[in-house]
Amino acid sequence: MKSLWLYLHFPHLQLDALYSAEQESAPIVILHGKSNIVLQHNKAAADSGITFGMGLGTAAALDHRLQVLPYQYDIEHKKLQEIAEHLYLVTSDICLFPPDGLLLRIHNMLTLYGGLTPYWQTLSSQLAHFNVSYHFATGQSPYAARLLARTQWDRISEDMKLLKQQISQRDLRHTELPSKTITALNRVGIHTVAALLALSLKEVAKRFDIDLVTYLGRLTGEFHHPVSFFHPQTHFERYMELLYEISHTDSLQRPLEHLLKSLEHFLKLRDLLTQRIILRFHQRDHSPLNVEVGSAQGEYQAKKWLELSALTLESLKLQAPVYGITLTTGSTHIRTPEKTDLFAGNRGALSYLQLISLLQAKLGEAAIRQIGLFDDFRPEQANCYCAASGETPMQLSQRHTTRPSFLLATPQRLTEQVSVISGPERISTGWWDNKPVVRDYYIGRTRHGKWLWLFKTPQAHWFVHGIFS
Amino acid sequence: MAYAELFCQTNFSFLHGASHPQEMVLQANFLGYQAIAITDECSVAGVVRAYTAIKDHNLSIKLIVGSLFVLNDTLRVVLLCPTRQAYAELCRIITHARRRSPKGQYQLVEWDLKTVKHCLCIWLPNGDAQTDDDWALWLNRHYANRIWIGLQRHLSANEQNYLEHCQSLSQRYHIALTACGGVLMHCASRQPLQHVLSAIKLHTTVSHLGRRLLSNSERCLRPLSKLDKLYQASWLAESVAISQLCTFNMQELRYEYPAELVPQGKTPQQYLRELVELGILKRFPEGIKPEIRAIIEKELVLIAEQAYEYFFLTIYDIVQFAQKQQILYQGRGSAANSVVCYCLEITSVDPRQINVLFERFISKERDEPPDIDVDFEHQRREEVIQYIYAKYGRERTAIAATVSSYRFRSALREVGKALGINETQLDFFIKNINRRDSGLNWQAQIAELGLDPSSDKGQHFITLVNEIMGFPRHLSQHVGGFIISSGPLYQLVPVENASMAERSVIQWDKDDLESLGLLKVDVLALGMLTAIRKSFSLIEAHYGKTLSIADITRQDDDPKVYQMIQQADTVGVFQIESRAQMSMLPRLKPKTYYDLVIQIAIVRPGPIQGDMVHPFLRRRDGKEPISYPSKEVASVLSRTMGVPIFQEQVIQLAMVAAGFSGGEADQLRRAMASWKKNGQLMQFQHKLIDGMLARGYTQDYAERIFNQICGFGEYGFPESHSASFAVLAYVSSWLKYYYPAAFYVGLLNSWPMGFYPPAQLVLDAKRHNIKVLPICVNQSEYDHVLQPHQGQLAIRLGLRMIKGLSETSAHTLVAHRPVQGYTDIVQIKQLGLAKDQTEALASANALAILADNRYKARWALMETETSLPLLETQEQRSTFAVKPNAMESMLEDYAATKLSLTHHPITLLRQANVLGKYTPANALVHKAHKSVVRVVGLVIGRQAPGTAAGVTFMTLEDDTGNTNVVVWQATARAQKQAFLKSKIISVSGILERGDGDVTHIIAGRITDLSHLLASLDTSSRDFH
Repeated sequence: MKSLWLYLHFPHLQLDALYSAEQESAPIVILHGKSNIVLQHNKAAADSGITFGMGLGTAAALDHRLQVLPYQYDIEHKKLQEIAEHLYLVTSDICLFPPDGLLLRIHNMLTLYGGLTPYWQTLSSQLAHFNVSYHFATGQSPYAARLLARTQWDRISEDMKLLKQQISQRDLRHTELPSKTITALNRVGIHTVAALLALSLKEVAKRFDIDLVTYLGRLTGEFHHPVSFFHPQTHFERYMELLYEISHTDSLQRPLEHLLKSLEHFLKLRDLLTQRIILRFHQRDHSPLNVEVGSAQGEYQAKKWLELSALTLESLKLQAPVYGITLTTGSTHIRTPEKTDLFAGNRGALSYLQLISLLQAKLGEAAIRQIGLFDDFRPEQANCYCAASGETPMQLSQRHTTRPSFLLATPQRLTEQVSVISGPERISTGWWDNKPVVRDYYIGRTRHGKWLWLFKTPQAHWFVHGIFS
Repeated sequence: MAYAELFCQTNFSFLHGASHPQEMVLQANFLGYQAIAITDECSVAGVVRAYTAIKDHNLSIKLIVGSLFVLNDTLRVVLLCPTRQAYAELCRIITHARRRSPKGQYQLVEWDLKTVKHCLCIWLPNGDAQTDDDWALWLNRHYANRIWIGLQRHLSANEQNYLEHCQSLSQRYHIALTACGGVLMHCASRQPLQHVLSAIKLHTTVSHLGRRLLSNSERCLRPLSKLDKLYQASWLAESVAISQLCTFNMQELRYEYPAELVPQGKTPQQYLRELVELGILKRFPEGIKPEIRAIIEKELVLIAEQAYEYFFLTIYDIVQFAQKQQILYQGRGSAANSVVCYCLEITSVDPRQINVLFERFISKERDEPPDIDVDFEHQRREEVIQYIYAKYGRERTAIAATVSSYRFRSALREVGKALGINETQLDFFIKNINRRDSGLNWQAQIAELGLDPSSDKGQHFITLVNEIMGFPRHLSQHVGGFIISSGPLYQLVPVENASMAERSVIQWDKDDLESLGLLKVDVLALGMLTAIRKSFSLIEAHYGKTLSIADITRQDDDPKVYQMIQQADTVGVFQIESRAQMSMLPRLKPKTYYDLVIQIAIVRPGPIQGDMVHPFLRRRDGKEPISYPSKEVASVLSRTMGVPIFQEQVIQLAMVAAGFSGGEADQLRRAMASWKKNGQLMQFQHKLIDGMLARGYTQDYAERIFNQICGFGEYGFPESHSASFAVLAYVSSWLKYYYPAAFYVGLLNSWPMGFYPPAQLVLDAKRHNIKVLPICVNQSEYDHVLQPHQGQLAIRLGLRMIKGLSETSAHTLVAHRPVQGYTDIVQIKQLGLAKDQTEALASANALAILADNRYKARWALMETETSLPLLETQEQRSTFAVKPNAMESMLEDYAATKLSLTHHPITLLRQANVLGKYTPANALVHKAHKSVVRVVGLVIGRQAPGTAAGVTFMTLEDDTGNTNVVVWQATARAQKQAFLKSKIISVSGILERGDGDVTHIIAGRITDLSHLLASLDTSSRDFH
């Protein structure tokens, strides 16, 4: 049997992975970080005249509303994997060409589906779930299919003659050849695959390294092209970048639903349940916020998980706007009837994390906090409760400062007479985050011998802020 | 009570101090301090500014010079200079510490501190009992009787312990205590800026700095009442006592010129006169007129009074060297236009042609140091610099510094990063803010771009960016300002390493040197001089005629040359070749040398923004009467029809019409130079207007003059420089008119220089009917040359045109060329050149003589077997048969040499019938004024001059010539895509013909035709 390959090329996967980018009326571009070159853009951007390969300066000059996102390989790669997972349901041999392409070996599937057309119908309807744009083509070799798909042939065919003719017409710029080789060929007037194939192979071999010959062999299908195939994941992890930063937990619901649906799909296929999902909210200029949601008996349905997480989210306090969400599962198990034995061993061995999540589930997220110590002059910022994450708080040396062991949650008016022992220590800072503090701190002693940490405001009001042990 | 601040760091402690030196002294004076020491870390870069501020504002506060040093992280001391001797010592150790380290750093060693015998030492203990004990003993040993412990109170945590520690040190080691501030800011409101500077320094954001920030704003200059509460009276008194020991004043610094310039037994006056007399014989062989003799005598008296002989002699010595080496040079600047300089052969500006200039030679009243810049051939300036180093030695020579300051973009980027704004976002802001959009300031524009200006972050951002602009970032080297002294330079000013190897810079910039009355010699590089010298050599070789700049200027103004200039046929000519200059030439119609001086100065942003061009033109054409409000004003403005065009005129005007003193006028000049940066000019507004009103001028006239001064701003061009530039403009025009082939070759061989790339120059040569021959492996040299061709001299393009071909490869190729030339490609292969080198030759079609076409040549070269001598005879049969068509040939030409002698893209496109109907550039003259035309062409230039608001000039090139297109902002905005991106465009618009037949197309519709020639690399010069 002649081998036949299908290649899917996703031209703007990162943009598609972005929540609702295409419907967006404002122009969005994905930018290559170092070279500042536009890699992907949405329709609105194209309407303003923005094209691929354009510099940020020109693009920005064309439309003032432009939104710019840095290109992230990871996002595309993860999305690609997600698509592969899904296609795996209908086709067996999938090979990833990260970050933006999938290669499928299809000749061995055709008998199953009864021909190329029904196969393609199944496949394309499977792809429709994703709402991503793609280009496709069949080819007699992996490189041929890739070349045709990347040049947007968008056709499927088993006609080897036609396929051969198609690749001949392609410009060398779209091949896998290194740009140095392509330039060298262009400078002697060779621009297309056909022109290259017309040269005497002997003469070519004298002038170029073996890679060019290998490539040609693989392109025409004369040489075998080894590829390694994809194996589905055993563990669910997905990241979604939000188009807008979200600062209200209510608004997190919709994107979350999206993620949970993919989780449901993942679990259902594998007939699995999970007892815990971990939501990681990526916050702007802040460490990410982890939220665990548990379901003691295990669950797979998006609807149920959404309900469960809604409860948790209600009490969730975002420290900063969220720009992305990662959903991962904890351990999963095969969906089997619950068979726990009251007297089974190994009980009470709750891990720290399990304890936290258990307490959080029982008492609500807000009820469980841990103490954090931060590098800041302002006592309120230096010592504060933060969400219990299980991570060890930052260790700081407090060598040069005398600080009380007990800090009052809110400073109290000083009501008794004290004698000042030392001070002042003036703290006047915090202009940048809108929590400015202007205070002179003193250590004072009451008549009863209690040592207090006091401060005086510029209006000469005195407060107690802490008590020394 | 009284207090002297002995420890104060300005923003010359880069990214640490948060106030300018000027702000420090003004504030300290306001607070009633007795004295203030400027003690930047291992630097005295800021002291001159402080000194100048005290002088300019007549402050009573005393300035002490000092510096902070940190040794091994354990010892911190402030050294203060009580005397000139101590100052020399300080400069020496700063120099040593700086020279040990790369640019911007320093490394102090114990030995440095041991050698300090005169400086006073304020020790700042670090609080660690062990190391402080050790240092106390050490300091007592080396600094007995001139050591104090500096107590700082910043109300930080556990300060009490530190104070006790210091007091205990004082008691145990008998070291007196003095109060000091450790000042970083002149007022408390600079605290946020100080935080931002710290964040920039540590490459992080303010919010991540935590307790590495200052916890409060106590490190500012504090009122005496507050200091009185913080310090014991005896500590404060001690600070004043120390300040009284410091009697050194910057005024004492006097610069001594190297003595070896004057032969033994002669005084500098005698020697200078001797040289001038010799020069008179040479410059005026037919005898000197009494009035010129009188000017010389007057100049010599002035030079003697100001003791500037050495300055002239130093420059004389340098230009003598250049003359011997046949390096072309030309002096410029106020003093350069003296007859003395003409006699010393520093300039070629003949006084007989331009008498009018000489009244403006250095004048005592203006208190302005003499200014002579000397331009040398750009490719040979290094020889001159090496001569200076060799003659005076590195100890005595260094380059003046240039203080790089925060400008808008750098300020926006760095402050943004410190505040945690996303970098992509900042890039976006920077790319989108149009600083030339006079209608909208940047704060408003940034709001349009999405930064909320009412948010806290937005407000901080805007304030801080404004505050940090003008802050120094680092010292770099001046383009060519040398300072040469008689003794080691490091006794006068610290010297540090420049980023360029083997160069050292002093810590002061040219303004600082000027304030102190120190003189520098500017050794600059100028491409046009190289081109002129090369043209001279070619003329000598091919026409047998020896020329010099003076030979050409000595002749009378040549009407034929001026006719060419009036027609704006000035591509390649010095200064008057830019778009703006060229469009002004037919209107201004220069006829004489002095017209050129005006032409060069008038087409500048200054005069244009000050709206001086049109009045000048109207008056010159007799369309507007010339009147002067007074005789004094007439004396200043009569040579320019009553319109101030030169910077000098503005200064003189301030003196004669508003009664400015010489010193004030000099301040005005400096404020003008930097007013965009700091707006200091506004402080002169009242003084100028009131002064003029008091002298009987009308309010209206006074305000107009002030507005013109503002418009002038930093762009005002001095007549003294214009006069020297005009000489070169004339000489290059003369060459272009009489020896065009030699002129183009001279230019091409001096590139990069000037306004036009080689491709444009070659096109211009072709338009002047000069034959240009292609690059050929058997005919071309590395440089472009003149070759006889069909009975005349033609330009043979050189191998240097070929992109990617190195100079060495080109020389190898020429050196190994057989007498009868190369006959086979195999010979080229066997030269042992790298593959990319020979292939570059093939693509440039330089091997056309050896192969059917460039593709074949390149294909043959790619194969490597025959480069081995043994296989030389192997048969060369190849089946390769690809041939370039006309379009491909042209694309290859452009890719390899950026120009094509055989095909123009527009010709090819026209032949391909894809252009439609249009008017070629050379046919536009037949079109009527106001007619509708369509033109097409390659975009070879886009210029958005800051002068004409919202207008961009585009230059289009077709195969018959260039067309000037004017694009109004609205048109540009509406058709942004075509306007910004295109390489080949079609423009439909209205033809406008103005004064002097200057033709423009006012763009209506712009269509992008770039897709027609997608890969053409014509590198349009965008927005220069």
